[in-house]
Amino acid sequence: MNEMNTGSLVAIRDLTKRFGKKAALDHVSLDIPAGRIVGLLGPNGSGKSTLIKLLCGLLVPSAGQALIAGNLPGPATKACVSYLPERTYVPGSMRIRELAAFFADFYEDFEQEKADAMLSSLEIDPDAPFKTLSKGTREKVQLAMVMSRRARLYILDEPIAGVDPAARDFILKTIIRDYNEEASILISTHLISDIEPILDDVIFLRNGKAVLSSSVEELRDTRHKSVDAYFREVFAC
Amino acid sequence: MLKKLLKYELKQTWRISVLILAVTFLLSAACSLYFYMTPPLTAEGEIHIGNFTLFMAYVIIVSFVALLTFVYLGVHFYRNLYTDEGYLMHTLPVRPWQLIASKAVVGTIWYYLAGIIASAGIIAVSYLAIPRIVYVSPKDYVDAARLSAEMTGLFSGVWGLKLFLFLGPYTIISCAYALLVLYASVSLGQLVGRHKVMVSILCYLGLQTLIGGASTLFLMPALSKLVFLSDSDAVSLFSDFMTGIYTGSFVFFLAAGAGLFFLSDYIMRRCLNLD
Repeated sequence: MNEMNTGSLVAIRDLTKRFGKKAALDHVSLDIPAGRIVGLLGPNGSGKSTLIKLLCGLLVPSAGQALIAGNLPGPATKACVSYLPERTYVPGSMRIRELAAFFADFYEDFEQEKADAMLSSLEIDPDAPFKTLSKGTREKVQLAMVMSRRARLYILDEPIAGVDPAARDFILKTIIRDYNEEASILISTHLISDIEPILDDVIFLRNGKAVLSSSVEELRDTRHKSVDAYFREVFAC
Repeated sequence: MLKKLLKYELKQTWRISVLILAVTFLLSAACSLYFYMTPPLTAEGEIHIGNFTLFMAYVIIVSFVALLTFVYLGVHFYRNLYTDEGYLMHTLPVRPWQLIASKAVVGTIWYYLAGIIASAGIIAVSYLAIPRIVYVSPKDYVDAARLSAEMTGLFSGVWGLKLFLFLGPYTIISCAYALLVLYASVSLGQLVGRHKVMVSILCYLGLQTLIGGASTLFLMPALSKLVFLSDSDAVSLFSDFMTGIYTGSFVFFLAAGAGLFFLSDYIMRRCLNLD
């Protein structure tokens, strides 16, 4: 199977991940075309992070497969996927300048000028060690690095969780402004109202299963509701 | 990519490793200076308990500090590949074996240097300390020199000077092997859901026991050769024995190291489960 056959940038088929007896992801099949901003939505424990980690090769599937640009997760997909995890993944002793050099060394699609411009607009000292930064600033720096790549797929896991509203605005503006328009963005979040304006498509996950995969436009037309309102209806406790 | 990984591995580990090397060196220098400034004992049968205690404390502390390098490299491997930092390292466009190889190569350099500096320090301090702990007569010096020459001849076996050329690669391979046992144990610890560090430690002890048993079996043919029939056979038999032990354990370190490397690689390729 390759990209040409499926017509999708990401083709997920029967993807399953079990931890012991519990299925964190249960036979999920999805397609993500190129050039779309896709919201991966669901309550805590629905399998969002598991799906993302499987796409990034940080977990090994129990069954099924995920193809990115026709390849199983590996060096080839990692070269074209720009991933922002939900946690701080930069060694604390590393300085921001060193982090940018690290990205430039390992990712051919990294644009140093873009990273410099973003860091400069954030008024961040590039010589500051990462561990001296506040949580919000760390997230901004990580996002700046991730969005400074001309990747084919950006995977952002909870990029706006745990930051103040001003930082949230910056992050959303950065996502819209700096992504390569031929690429797709997969954003996982449960703060739907904040990201709804930028989404093209949504995927709802519940208990490890994909319960909805639709364009935002179609969802609004058929359900006559915003994504946020429909999400609350589907996942009402 | 391996070159880049090696560069960043060196960058990430040099501060702590050089600090440990510097502490080892300074401790040895301070002890050497102290013993150099202290006059040697002059009366036969005299023993200086204070100097003996200081010397033993020095040996224990320097061995412990050198061992810290090993522990640090294990913790660094775990933190860099299996905790939050693993999200960065495992999303680089490289293969798992390249990650392991970069850590093994750089780790071996630091561990080897730590061993060399600690050993050189202990030998230097011993040379200065012994005449300050017990009385050493001029005759004892002559006897010690003769014994040392005999032992060297005995240990060099049929190889003669070649042994000393062989010791370099032998020590490097044994350092790499020791680190690969550690890396494989940390990787095995990641296969369980909880208490990963504890399981890693248990795996380390288990692997050491298992490999220790296997190495004894592997070296059994060489070990069984040490049967003296007469005093005149002793030198040649012991030389053959040492040759067998060195070559056998060298081959064993290489084979077991390769096996452990592939085990860690397999776990990262097929069983990676970052929390």
